[in-house]
Amino acid sequence: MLRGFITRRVLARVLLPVALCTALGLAPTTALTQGAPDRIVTAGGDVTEIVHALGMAGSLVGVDTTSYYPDAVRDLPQIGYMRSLSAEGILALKPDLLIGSINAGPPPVLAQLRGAGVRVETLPDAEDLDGIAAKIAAVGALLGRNAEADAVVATIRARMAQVDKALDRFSHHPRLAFLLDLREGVVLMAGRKTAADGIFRMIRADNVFHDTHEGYKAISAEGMLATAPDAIILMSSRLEALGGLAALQANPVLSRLPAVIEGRVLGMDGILLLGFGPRTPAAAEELARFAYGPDFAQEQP
Amino acid sequence: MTLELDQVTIRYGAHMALREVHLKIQPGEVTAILGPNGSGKSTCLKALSGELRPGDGRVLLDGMDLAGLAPEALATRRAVMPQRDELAFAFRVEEVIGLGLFGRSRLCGNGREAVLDAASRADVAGYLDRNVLTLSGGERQRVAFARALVQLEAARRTPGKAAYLLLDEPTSSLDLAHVAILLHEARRLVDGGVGVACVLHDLTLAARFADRAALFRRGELIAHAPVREALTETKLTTLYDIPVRAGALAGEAVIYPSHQRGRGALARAAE
Amino acid sequence: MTPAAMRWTWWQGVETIGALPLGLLLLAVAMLGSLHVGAVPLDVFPALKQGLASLLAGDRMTGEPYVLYQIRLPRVLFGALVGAALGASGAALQALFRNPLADPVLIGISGGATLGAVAAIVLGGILIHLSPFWMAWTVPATAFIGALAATLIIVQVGARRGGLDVTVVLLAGIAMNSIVMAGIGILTYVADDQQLRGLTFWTMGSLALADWTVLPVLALVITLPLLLLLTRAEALDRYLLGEAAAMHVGVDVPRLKWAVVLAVALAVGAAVSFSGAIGFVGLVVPHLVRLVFGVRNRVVLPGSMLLGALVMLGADAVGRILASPAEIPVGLVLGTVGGPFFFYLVIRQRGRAS
Repeated sequence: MLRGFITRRVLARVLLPVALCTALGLAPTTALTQGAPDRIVTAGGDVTEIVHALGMAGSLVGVDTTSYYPDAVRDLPQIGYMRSLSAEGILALKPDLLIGSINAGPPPVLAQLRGAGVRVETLPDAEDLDGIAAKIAAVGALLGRNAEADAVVATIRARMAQVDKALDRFSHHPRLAFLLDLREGVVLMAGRKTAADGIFRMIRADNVFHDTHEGYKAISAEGMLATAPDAIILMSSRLEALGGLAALQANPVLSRLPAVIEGRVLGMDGILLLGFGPRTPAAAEELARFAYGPDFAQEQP
Repeated sequence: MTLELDQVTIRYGAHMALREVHLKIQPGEVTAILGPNGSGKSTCLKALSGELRPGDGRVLLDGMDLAGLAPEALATRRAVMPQRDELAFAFRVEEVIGLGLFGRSRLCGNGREAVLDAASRADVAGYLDRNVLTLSGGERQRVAFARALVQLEAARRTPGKAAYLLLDEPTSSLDLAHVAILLHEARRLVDGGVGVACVLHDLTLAARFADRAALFRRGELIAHAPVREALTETKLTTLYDIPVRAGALAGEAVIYPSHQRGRGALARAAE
Repeated sequence: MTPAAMRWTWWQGVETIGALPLGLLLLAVAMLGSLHVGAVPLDVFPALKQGLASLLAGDRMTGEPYVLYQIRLPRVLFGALVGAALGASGAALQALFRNPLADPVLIGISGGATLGAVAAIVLGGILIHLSPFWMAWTVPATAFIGALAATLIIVQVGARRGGLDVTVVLLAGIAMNSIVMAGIGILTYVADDQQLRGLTFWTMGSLALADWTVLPVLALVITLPLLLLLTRAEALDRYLLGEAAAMHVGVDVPRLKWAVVLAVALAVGAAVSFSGAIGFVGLVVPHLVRLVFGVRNRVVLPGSMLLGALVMLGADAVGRILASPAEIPVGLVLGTVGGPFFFYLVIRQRGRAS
């Protein structure tokens, strides 16, 4: 029933999107002769979101631990953490296709899945809007939903354009810092080549640690004071686990920072903020509203 | 056919434990190794057993240098009863004694017979199933003795070659009854042609039980002679630096330190 | 022969002939049972036959036979090999150190292997991401080198006129573990996020990397040292009397020590390098074998191999059942059970007279 419905829509849209994808150079190397996948497993919260955005959430038969949006996917069978997948666990779900983010693995398990006849594709990494567009287009091609993919990309670009327009009004760049974790007296802050750095750049904010290091590194109290960010961003789950703003204000490394003293701390959902998927413009909006203040208002379309 | 130390010198760092010692252990007799603490008795025994390599000189078994002998070959010619064992695992007594067996004799009835025989000779036959860690010091010594006996059994079967038994203070934890049993067994072996070298502290025991005595003082062998000649009051007094008296009790020699407190040669000369 | 002698010989006979096939039978049953465990529902025997038919016909296997032959079977063999290696190594080290609390972790072998692997993951960088093939081989190879290096260093440090000073080796093991910790700490600091997540996966201890390309090498590199250890069982018993006493009874002590150390380094290095750091098997399994069968190494060594394999298979099965279709790494399962058990052992040890 449902499958027949989807198959019809897919077949109706196969030719044009294939031509488009070929033109964009994003066509999958194998032809779509095996038909649209019925049973899809995703490894990576952003991948799951994209599949959902393309309307194929009904074909999902399994997701990994980083996939929790939308709520419905939480009821799907779990395949484990995306970097340590279990081959048999995935095979038990009889998938046609496994789509993983760039971090999906370990490689031997992916090889075992391929050997068992499952199609395994990993998406490229994304650090900006073009990267997100490429991811969405790639999934669209895999699922035969190229038109939907284009539509989603168009929506995202439009929304992001609005954000950019609102940002044009500002000449200053907020100085932000992303706190990954606090443990044993050590503060882990995001440098460049992190998802946090990417999203900061999308709202034209400065990552105060962009020039100091790559990845996540421990910073001392003095190092924090020297950079003095305007605000600190964390994942909401981590903020809650640490004990909220009070815990940050009590921490010796952070307690003297003006941002912390004055409570300029924001907790945002991890996948929303860092996933670089369809919801990224919404994340950018929320972040920009926080970073630029109430003056950040978008024109209504 | 002897087990001998040929001009052996052994040093522990700067300390000279044995100084150019020349000592022959003959089969068919018991040689008691005597001397004050630290005089090199244990070191001498360790050299004889091959445990310590001499810094100078050689240890010879029937003219062959011990250093050239593989441990297994050496084990067929001599057995050692050390002062202490270092067992930290809960072996059964029977298993410990069985460790003295060689090769296939373990698996067939002969090995088992040898173990039982040795156990009864050392008076531990009643303990065969016991966990060796639960035994007292004296009982463990008897088990070690039984193991040495088992090893000697295999050694004695090699025709034409004498076997040797080296005992390091074998009576230190034994009660009187078991001292007697052990020495009786050693004597029996000697009568069968085994050469025994035994470190002892009890001079009366040495006089009664040994054929020859080797007296050590500060790493030097100062006397090696039949017991009657070696264990005299004069020699022993010089050796131990305290007055030693030798007497007789029911026809047997008795040696003991006299009641006077030890004063050293100068003080005694002044008296 | 006296009745007592006859009784003993019968038990000896059972011991040497009967117990081994019995143990192997038990292992075969356990392995077969393990084959039944997994997220994919399948009938083992039909799948076995089907797969065999495909193999003989030269066809590619698909479906259930594929899962059985390509995923479960290598994993089960892997688990048995790693378990046997760790169990035997623990037993051998406990004999070598004459201490029931010795194990590969203590003298730094596992640490050396871990450091080698971590170095490969962090410093290997591009090399690892080149292809899955490299990923599968670089890490195990460097872990193996790390284990060997650690062992050789410790043996050199502890060497004394032809033998090993046990106390010095234990101290050197502590020093080695400190160096390893520091090294891992530095590498962790230098690592980027992606590498860090890779480290976490590997250090938990898992059998997920099992496949047929790796298995033959692992089988060879583990079986050889284990066989060597088996031939040394009797000598190890004598060695337990003490070094001097062992020499008196005919054991070539320096050679024995070298043989044991190298065999253990090889077996543990191989096991740790392919499956990550898995603890407690080396420590706990020999104890259990001793509790039931006594302390003679002729029984404890093969017994530890068998029980080690059984424990590993059991823990892996549990890890695959509890979180299906995901799986809990076997190292985690063993740690959860092994930790409290270790405590119990220590308390028991405390009350001993020795």
